Amino acid sequence: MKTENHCGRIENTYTRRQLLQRAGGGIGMLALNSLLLEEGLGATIGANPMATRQPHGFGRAKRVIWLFINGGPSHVDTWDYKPGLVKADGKKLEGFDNTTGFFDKAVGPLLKSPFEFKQHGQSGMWASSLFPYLSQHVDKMAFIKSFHTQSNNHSPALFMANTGVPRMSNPCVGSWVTYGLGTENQNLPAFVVMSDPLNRGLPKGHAANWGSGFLPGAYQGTWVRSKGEPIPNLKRIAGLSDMQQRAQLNFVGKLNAAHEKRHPGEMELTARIRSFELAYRMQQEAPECFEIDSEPEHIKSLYGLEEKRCSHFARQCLMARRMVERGVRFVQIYSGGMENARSWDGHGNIQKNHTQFAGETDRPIAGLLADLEQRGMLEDTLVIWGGEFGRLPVSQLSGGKPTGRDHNPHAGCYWMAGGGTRGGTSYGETDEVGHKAAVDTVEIHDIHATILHLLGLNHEELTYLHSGRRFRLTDVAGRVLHDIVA
Amino acid sequence: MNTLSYKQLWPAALLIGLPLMSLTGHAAEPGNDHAQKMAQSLKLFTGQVRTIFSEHCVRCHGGEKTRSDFDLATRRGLLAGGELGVAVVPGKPAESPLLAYLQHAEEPFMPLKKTKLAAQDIAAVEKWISLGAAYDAPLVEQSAAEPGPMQVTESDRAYWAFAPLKDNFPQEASIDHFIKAGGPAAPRVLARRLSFDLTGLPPAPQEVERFAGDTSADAHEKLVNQLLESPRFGERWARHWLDVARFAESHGFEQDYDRKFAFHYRDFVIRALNEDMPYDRFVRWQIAGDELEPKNPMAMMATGFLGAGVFPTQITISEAERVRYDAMDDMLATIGSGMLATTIGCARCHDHKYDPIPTRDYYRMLSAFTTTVRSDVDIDMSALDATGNTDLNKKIADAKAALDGYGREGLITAFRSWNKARLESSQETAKNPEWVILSPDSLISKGGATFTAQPDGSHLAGGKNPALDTYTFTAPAPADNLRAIKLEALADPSMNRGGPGRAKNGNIALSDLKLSCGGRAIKLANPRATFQQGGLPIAATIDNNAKSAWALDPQFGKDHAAIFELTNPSDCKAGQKLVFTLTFGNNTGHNIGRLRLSVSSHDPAGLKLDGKASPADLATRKIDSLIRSAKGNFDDKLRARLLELYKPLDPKWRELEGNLATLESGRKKAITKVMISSDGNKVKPMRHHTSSGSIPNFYKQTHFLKRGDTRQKGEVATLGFLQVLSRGEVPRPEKGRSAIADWITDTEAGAGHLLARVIVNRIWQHYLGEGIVATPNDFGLQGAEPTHPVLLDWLAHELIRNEWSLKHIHRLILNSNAYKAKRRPRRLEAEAIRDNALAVSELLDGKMYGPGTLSEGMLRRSIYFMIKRSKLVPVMQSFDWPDSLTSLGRRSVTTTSSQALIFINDPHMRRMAEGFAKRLSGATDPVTEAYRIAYGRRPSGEELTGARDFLTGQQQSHNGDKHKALSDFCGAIMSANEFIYIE
Repeated sequence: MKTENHCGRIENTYTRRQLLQRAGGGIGMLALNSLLLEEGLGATIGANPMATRQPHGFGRAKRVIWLFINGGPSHVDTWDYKPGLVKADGKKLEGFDNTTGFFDKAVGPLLKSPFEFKQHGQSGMWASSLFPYLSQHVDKMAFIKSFHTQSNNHSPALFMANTGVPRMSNPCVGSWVTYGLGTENQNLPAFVVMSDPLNRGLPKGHAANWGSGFLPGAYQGTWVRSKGEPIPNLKRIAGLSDMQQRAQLNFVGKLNAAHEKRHPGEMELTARIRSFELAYRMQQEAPECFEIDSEPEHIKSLYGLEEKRCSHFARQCLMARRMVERGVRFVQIYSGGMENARSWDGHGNIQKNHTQFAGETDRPIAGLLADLEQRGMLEDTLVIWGGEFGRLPVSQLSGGKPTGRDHNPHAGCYWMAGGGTRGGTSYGETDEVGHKAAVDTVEIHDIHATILHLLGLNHEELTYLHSGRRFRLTDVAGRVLHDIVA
Repeated sequence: MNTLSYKQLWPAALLIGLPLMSLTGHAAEPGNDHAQKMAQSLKLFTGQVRTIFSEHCVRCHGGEKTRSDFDLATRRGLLAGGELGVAVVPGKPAESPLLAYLQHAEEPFMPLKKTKLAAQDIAAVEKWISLGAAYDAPLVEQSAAEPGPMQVTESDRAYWAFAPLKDNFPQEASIDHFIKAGGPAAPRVLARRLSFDLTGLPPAPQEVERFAGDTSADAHEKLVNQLLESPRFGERWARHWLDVARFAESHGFEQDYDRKFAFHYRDFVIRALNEDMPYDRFVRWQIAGDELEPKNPMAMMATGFLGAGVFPTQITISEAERVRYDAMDDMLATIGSGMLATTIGCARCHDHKYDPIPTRDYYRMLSAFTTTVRSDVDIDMSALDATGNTDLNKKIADAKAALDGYGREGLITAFRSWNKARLESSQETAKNPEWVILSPDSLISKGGATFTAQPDGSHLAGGKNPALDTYTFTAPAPADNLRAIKLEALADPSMNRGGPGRAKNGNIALSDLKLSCGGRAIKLANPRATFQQGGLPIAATIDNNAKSAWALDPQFGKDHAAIFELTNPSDCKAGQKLVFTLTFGNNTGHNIGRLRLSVSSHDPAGLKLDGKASPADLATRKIDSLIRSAKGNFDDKLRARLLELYKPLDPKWRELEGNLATLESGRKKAITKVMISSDGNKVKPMRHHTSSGSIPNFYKQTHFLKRGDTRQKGEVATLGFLQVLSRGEVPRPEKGRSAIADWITDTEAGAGHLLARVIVNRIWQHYLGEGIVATPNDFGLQGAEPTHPVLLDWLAHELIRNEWSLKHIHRLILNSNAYKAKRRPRRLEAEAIRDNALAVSELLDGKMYGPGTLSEGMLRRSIYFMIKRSKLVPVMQSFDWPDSLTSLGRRSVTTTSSQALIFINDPHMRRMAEGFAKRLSGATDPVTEAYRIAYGRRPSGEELTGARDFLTGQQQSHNGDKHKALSDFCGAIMSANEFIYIE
């Protein structure tokens, strides 16, 4: 694991040089030269921070849906089949450091997965019995089975996964992407986040997971509710008709035009005039985007909208599809709320916990993949499945019984589908029992670099100057996983 | 004035997307003429290129420094390139970015921030590269192949930000002298600009009228002064500082627990700015108020600064130590960026890449915060908010008036007579020193120890150390009428644990002290000692009990003293024989190891034990030196200074002050919980929800860490400061944060000059839109350079010269032509936008201070919103509120449709529009009135017609509902650009 480097620089200058020398040509300047953004100088592009921008290079993916499997999904119970763990079931894991997980005093013996694994599709990718629906789509998925991270604790690991640092300070992936690319539909938010709608809390660290950090506030994620008014202030105030509001806005337009005449050539003033027109259009168009009831029955059924246990997540997946269809750049949906039984955090009983949360999401996500595919949108929509860390192959004792699994920063699993990824492949491996990433290990920076790459953005060139330093999402690390890129 | 704001300050090198060097270029394949070319190249190198590089490049890119990781001192380093990638491709000048930098064809232009090299020099470099870029020898000895720890050099200290302030300003120095400004804006524009800039609120329409009609020469100055005195000033300017202080009221991270009592820090800032607290004190208290003035509620509130950063509340054991270093880093990094515009935090894992800050400086400073924790403590705030008994408040006011009155009138007379008497008596004292050290005719140890006289008049015992002993010290009396004796037992490294006793543990045990003069016994009384061990008091030496004694455990290794009074001084005459008998009959070998005896003919009550000067002495000395150095030139400032020093010495002043204090202490105590930052050994640290109880709140020591990694600990770090900002001896109080506070405000030996530069730049920025240094949080090499360096230094100098009065700097700027000039419109910040709407709607609740709320329906000023990190108030966040995670010197300004949606549809905004409409309902001409209130001007004829047309149409469509129509109109007025952009 790379040692933490506060300043985003590493000690070994040779390594840094090497890293930077891999950067490639200087086309970044040309492509992003409209982005003259710096701390405090947002005014220079106050015109429209969300204007569509050309990426550095070619990227198949135009938009992203990240299904954030919150709480730490167990790789050895989902996609990373470990026959070695079956054999070693009940044995002690030699040399295991009890402080690896969260509960150092409840470490039990190795525990084989309570779920049955089978190979699926033409590619023969393994999937556990948790995913009867998703297992039919493994040929679309590119697995990363050697993910590891820096923290064994939810919020630092969540911050890592979202922002690349284990602290609360930096912009998240969605913010970087919208900063780099703008959006395709000015009438909808560019970056949308949906969290658990069943009152099970927000992910640890709350809104900092979709915050824009030191990037201008315009790039923070918009938190969209799946019920009621999805975005604040979309509804006209009571007692005002559309005609009356239109008249009012026309009057504002007149006031502004007169003001602009006295201050010609002021970009900010012009931009603000336009923002009112955009707002009006958003108010007209956005509600339609969230009207999933208008979807035909077979689509609703495809996502599992009528099935009680997964209805809430189905709604969110369907909303996500409708949003990306209309040009929203980045959508992130959190499965599960806070910790323990409220998310994939199966400390007490892994079987029960994962059965529940896989049950909530399996059919909706499978529906989303199928639906995107049939609409021809999967090819340029990147779908990501993954969370903050994996779980340990050793059990966590619960009431003395070896039924749970604790956090595992050393190993975890991701998959990506669509958006230029190579379906039916698998990259990297964990050790025999799934304790640590062992072959072709992958850090979160590598995943971030790959996401940006698929979008046509060079992770080494997408930078922002803040407090005297040029920051990147990938810090000084990050390696594009070309093996999973088609 | 246009030249000042919005000018191109940023070299494009600092912009996004700095091109990385192309890697497609390869060195030319060696051809047949390779050797020949290299020889030519070498000739060019020795003839020209070496000199060019040595003069222009090596200072930053070779030897001591390799900025941007680029070292051209050797060919190897040159070809290795740096952070920007490849620099030179031998044989291919067109693919060598170094050349483009020199030609100023590509950023960063080199030499950085210097003029371009001469054309023939660039041509030589180009030719040299094209021939193969040969070297004959490294450009500097021992090039940084294996760089040692960073050395801070005198040339580092000469960098503009770290250098002392210039002080040779022209006689006529003023802002107008430094900056040629355009013509002034119209009075109405200025009234509005001043009101928003100083208070964050719109001016009352009648105030605008009054100002526009005021033709007196000092109309502007008067308005400035009036606004500076408004309590709204503090509320406006505190918010600027809160951005810098990354202030919030929750921990952040997992649970984001509230810090319920953190708002007191916000109140401290408001109060401090309103009362024009000297900026050095403002800084000192935020760093160490709890150490410096623990009884002062303001000083305690100020320490909220240190604890305002994020902190994870759920920690696993393996993270605990890193988290603690993160927390300390947050304090230090915020002090660095916020107060010194220096990115100290960047030296945590390695020596700073750009600025002369070695990692060891970082950890030395960090160690000051080793035990610093957050704590909720009870503080009596009655001195801040006098509530309750009005009678008492009146008495207090009277007592204060009496004190102030005496300070203005009687004090000066008292000072003059005191000073006269002092001068006369000091001549006396010179003749008659307080203590005369006795030089013995004989000093004998009964048990056989030997004594060696020391240069300081003491006597060091050596040789045998008998179990029990008696010393006899004989000397002539130096004067008549001796009134006191002083016995000193002094430390010395020759003794166990430094003494002052010869016992195994360094202790003494003096059982009896007897004195005779001319053969007559002299009775000793009223003994006092610097320290006495429990059960072994100094009084035991004169109790005629040979067993009881005076001892010093555990204060070893220190000097000790005891004073005894002579009860019958007249019995002893000058020249008579004084005999001191010291008996050590209490404990084995507990004999004094280094003895000194002195006598005094002064009043014993006034004699000091430890030799240190009393506060009164210090004040007297200071007064004396001020008078001396004034050489007869007394100005008002010096007079004020002298009186300030004299106050505590004046009996009448003390009496009046005592009266006031007594009355104030009678005020009902207002005990309030306040979140402070203080020493975790002394206060109860705020506990967090953690996975186990074994995680400490802090660790005993701070170590040097390799790469910032807590698993790679080096030695324990001891307190130190940034070397580049230290000159000569910097005083170091024992308490770490007080030491930082002293150093940072020290204008001689410490960082005081930079501290002043940084704050005047911030003030300038908020008034003029852009700082003299455009990067307010980074004055380092990566930051911008000052556009007007002399002006910056002059303002900083003015600040220090005027006892760090910030309002003085505000006045200087506000009364300048640069400030008054015509300007382009600027958008108001989040708080001012919302407060403006509240003000014009007359819904504003002016209540100051106290806990805030997250409710968007709050009608108080926006600074009273609670700042909860995970739930930033949406309307504020929408208008670019800071993230409150790290120090922010300058907010960004974005324009988004979600902002417009707030103006269009937010129910709170509508409520304000309705409030505004209600305010207008009685007006005969609501349109004109609306313009006067919202825009500070009257509408033009065209505007009047347009507005009336809109109102008529809207009223019709609302079925004649006038209020609704007027509300729509007001909503539009508040949505328009003119409402939130000020000129």
